[in-house]
Amino acid sequence: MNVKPSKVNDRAYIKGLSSIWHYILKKRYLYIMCIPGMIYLIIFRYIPMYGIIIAFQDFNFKRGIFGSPFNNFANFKQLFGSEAFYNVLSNSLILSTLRLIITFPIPIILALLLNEIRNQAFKRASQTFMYLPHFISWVVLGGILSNFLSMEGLVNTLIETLGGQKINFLGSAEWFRAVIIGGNIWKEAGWGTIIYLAGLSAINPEYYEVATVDGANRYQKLWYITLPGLANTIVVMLILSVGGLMNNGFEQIYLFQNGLNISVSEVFETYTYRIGIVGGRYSYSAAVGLFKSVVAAVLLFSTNYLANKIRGGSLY
Amino acid sequence: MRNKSYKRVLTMFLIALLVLSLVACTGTSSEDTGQDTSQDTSQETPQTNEETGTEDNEEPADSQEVVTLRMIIRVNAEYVVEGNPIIEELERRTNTKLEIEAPPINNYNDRLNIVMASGDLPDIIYLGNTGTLYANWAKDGLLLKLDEYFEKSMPNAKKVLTEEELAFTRVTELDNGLYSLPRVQTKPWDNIIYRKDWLEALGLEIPATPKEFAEVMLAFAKNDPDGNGKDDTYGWSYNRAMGHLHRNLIGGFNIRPNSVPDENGNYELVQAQEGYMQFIDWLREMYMNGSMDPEWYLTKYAEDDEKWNAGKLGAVYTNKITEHMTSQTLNQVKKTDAKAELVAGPPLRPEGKTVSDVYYQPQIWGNWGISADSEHIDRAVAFLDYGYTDECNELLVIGMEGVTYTSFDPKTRFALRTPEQQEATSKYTSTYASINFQCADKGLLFVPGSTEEEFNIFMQAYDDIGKQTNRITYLPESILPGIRDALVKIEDSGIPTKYEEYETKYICGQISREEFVNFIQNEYIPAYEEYMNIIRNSGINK
Repeated sequence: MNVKPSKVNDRAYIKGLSSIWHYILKKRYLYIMCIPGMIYLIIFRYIPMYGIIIAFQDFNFKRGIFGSPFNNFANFKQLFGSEAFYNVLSNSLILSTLRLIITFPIPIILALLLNEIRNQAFKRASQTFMYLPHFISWVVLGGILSNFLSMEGLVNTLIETLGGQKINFLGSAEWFRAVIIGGNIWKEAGWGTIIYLAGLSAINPEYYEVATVDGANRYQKLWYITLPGLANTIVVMLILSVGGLMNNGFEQIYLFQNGLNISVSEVFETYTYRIGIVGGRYSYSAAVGLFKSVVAAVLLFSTNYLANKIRGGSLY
Repeated sequence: MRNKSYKRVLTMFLIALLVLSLVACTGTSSEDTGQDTSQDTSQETPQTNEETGTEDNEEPADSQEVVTLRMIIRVNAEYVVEGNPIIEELERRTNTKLEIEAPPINNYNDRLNIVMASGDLPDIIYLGNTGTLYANWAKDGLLLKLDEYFEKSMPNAKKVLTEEELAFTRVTELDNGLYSLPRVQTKPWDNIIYRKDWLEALGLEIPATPKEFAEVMLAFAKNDPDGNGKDDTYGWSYNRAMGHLHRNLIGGFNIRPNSVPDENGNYELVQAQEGYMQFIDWLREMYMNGSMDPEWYLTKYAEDDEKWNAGKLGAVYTNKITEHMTSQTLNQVKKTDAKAELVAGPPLRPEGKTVSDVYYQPQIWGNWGISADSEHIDRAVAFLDYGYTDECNELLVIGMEGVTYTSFDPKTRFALRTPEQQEATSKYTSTYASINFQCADKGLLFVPGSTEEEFNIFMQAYDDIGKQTNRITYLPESILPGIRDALVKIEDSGIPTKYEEYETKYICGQISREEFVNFIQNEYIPAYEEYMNIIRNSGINK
């Protein structure tokens, strides 16, 4: 019987759709659980995207977003002609690259260490204490850190007791990045172990048993079983982290920014706040934000592509 | 089977929890931005003008109908909006229902910017801004042009406000129209407050010149003025957020504002004046010898007040008027040290002078605007006009008999209070809540203090400081057309950020004088050339 190719394709298409539908039906509760998050994303992330149009306009409060006139990329011309912008760009890139390099491995290492703990009660208690700083706001944590690191604080008192000289952690440009990254590790490293612990739990324990039988020591198991098992998770997290490279967070930076470190502490978030919210230059700050997002998107796609090329697996 | 139904129930519960958290996170803005209130009203008509004469077809101002007016105001943290009997009385008098948004004072400007961009403006807005943002709002048609209303419908405001004061809120860049009304203040003198007990313990006099001030600050820092045997005090903490180049200090170095010419009619940028480097060197010396709080640069708003209240500082200089000799400031310090006593010192003056020249912009403390899209323009205008009566401002600032005071003498402007009434005063009244912070005859609206003793302390300080202060009124350059564009160019060059860095580093001894002077002469002053030319060409304050 001759069947026309289009009919064959149609049938395959319908069959494909049907199998997708069956899959969704089978996992319906998981999909239902996703719905609130998707609604949140659509309402608060996707729908407001239209507002980015003000980056291309001379925004007029009265006329609103759709009534304001376009200004022939004047905001972008001003942006790329502004000396302040390049300083902000370099500060943001340096800080976020350092943050990525230094903070990315730490949750992995912590997860591996936690995984080795045999005493379950101690393991759970450690995890709880490690997660706690994540739930404290930067305002509180910033205050605590400021007290620790001030000239009369705990750290400098300790340094002085040990015979050293006090260090002005909060008032020097040289120490600013270290304070930010250190604070970030304290707050987020514990929380970051969750994903990796989940990844570790997915590794088949039989591999470890076989390795034990074959005489492998702890480090060999780590190198040949644990890390390869965790590789996909690490790649996914790395792609997401690189995608967020342009984000440094506003609260933490703003709390520690002052006149002595402003040459290195002015990043996109604080710059946008100062010129946008305080200065009222909404269109210009929208242009800054748009530039940041475009760069982030390019980084995300590039990293995903590289991951696919190198490992054969990627986020999408 | 049971397992399956248990999982189903658990799944639905988790979904419900997620939806609930989503809804909870998207609460209304009034919960996040301050205190909202809606109050009951009475039938009494407002005591306002009888004319209505407006171009819009709104209900007349003396209507019996109760109208809801939305307001956004800037008040201190202690002020309570909800359940406030003063606000209830105000509503009764003006026949209105007030929905008041009062964002946190530290972030008021941020919130205001967002509200102005939102498209949903309250009827009455405390703008607190007569600079370029204000001009933009007026240009964009957000604010009601008040000229005609002012002439025909606001007799109280017309009686009180002078043309010079109104000039401050005219938008010269647009049509010289009146887009808001100024809140004019007559306030007690600016002063620097010192720990009197520390001065007496060390046998020191109240300083009046920069040299004397530096000596006293050093003594406060090094000579254990509180007698606790610990090296835990400083002279003062320079509050960068409140008062860079504050008038209480710079008068001691003959520094003039940018828009004030010298005796030859020449305008000079502050940083180009001779007194500026003397001032900065003076600060640097005090930092290096330990008189100044070593972490002064960390303060963002008024954290020096916290150190002062904790008994760590011997002087505070920013935003302190002779009022602070009583109530607030004293009470806070006494909580830490019951022996604390305060004394007011004058703004600093150069050697050899007996009076301090203190430059003030017109005594404008913010401005009040009405939304151009308000649905109750006439009633908003009437409400605002009522705000320029002594009756209204006495209510808002002094309060009500039996609630916030026992008796009030209109002649001396002093209110006698019990401790409970003092507490009620802090909660229900505020100078920040006033529409106009002066009497109709331009005199002080009130004299601070709750007891006869406090009244005498205040009057003593008021007289002392008044004799030593020469108040010079000037118009700031922010009202000049074109100044905004010049400022934007300077901002984009990165110079202001660099200036903040260099100045702070120089004061803290991290860079040399040569390096700092080099930056000021070769980068900072040239960057402001166009800015200063606009001022020179305007002839302002000549």
